[in-house]
Amino acid sequence: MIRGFYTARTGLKAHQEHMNTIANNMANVNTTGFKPMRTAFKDLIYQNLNREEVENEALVGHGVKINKNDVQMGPGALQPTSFALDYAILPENGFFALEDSQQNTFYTRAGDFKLSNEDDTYYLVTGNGDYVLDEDGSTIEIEFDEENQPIMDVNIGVYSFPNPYGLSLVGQNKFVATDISGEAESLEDPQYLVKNGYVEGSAVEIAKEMADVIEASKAFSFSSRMVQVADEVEQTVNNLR
Amino acid sequence: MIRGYYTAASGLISQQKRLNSVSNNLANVSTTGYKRSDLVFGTFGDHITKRMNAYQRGADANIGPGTFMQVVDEKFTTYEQGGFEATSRPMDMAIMGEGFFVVTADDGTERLTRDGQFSLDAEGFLVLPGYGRVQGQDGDIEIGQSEFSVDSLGNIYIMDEDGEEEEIGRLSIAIPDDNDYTALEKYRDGLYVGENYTIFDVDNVDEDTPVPFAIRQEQLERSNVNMSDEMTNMIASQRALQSCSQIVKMYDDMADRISTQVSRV
Repeated sequence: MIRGFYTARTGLKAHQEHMNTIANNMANVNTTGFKPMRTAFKDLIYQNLNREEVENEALVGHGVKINKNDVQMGPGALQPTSFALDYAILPENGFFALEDSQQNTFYTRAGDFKLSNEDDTYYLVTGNGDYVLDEDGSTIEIEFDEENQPIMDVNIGVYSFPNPYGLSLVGQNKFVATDISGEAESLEDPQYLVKNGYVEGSAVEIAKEMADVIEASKAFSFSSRMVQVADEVEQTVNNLR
Repeated sequence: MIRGYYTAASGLISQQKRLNSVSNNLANVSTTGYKRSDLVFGTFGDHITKRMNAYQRGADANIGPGTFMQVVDEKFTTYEQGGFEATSRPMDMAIMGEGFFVVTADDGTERLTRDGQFSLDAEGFLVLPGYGRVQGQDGDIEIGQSEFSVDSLGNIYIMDEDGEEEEIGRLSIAIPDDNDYTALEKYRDGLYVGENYTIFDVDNVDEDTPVPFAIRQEQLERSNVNMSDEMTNMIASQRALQSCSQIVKMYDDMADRISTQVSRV
């Protein structure tokens, strides 16, 4: 089979994966604190079509692959909610720290918190039950005033990383620290770095994603046309006699 | 056998190779920093065609030059500037104009690239993921944090504790000697192999030799593949291939007639 057939197939595969990434970004256009992903492509190895003893080299590549998917850390728009338990982080390099029941630490930009009741103590938690940590890394207890309103006089910790682009996504809007991101550092005076009554919206720009969809689908259809042509070439060759 | 038979077959093979090249360009339409390549066809040497003189042995009569075969001569790569795409990662960089970024693998081999989708590794060095560390004027570039800025000459600044900008390094930009880009060879992963290049010295700039490039941070250079060109090449190659196959068929038909009908006479 001619090589172009398989080269075009790598294109089909890569552009399909690109579509998957875009679809995930678009699906999360309303996810609080969501950061979109960007797909990075690389070309594959090159091979000489001419025999070795021929002086001129005719290098032809073998297609494309997906090299990495990067998180784009650009800020999302702040959305006023007027809920007492909603927080948005103002600096770009800032994260809430969370701890699950197995003492694993996660980081998130989503500040739509809830209260959980354990043995008559109320804790500040996320929607899926992870404890929110304060600036010293301990869980936050919430007390109530006489009118049964929660007293939100709390210091929710804000943590930053030397390289937030190295954080690894684990789903449910949570990141975990890696060697590449470096150690989390608790920022001083976190009460000035958060805004109560607001959440950070998704950082997905729908116009950009739509443009990417068009690009990916066109690239996909061109690659599929190439598969078709390679097939027709084989047919031509097979019908030589 | 009739000579044209093989000539047509060489056309078939060349066009197939061309389609491989077109296919690679099409697949890399979204690859950052990709430069499109195409194949150049040449003839397989000219031959003087001679007619053997049946009466006088050794007295050949020249009947002019001819070429039998079409073969792939070499590939060429178009180093035309690709468009720019804005991203929001400070590690993304693009070169506007001439030159290449220089990256070094763990074993010390140096490669050039136009793909500026860099990252920071666990030790805080600027790397091209999958290959190696990006080279600055003093070797590897240690940045250590994602908040930094790069100016158009490739100088890298970070904010120190007093809020002052501090220069921590400068990107090396390799310019091929005599601007001879043809000496470069594509390797893989958007990398190029070459030997004849020099790192542009930004400090020794005068009016005669302006800086031939500008670094753009938080931008990426897009592939310079032109879809309509590639589609046209694809169709042209396919049709040329079909024409060659028709000729092969016609020769086959002729050979058939010669072997069956002529012998019947």
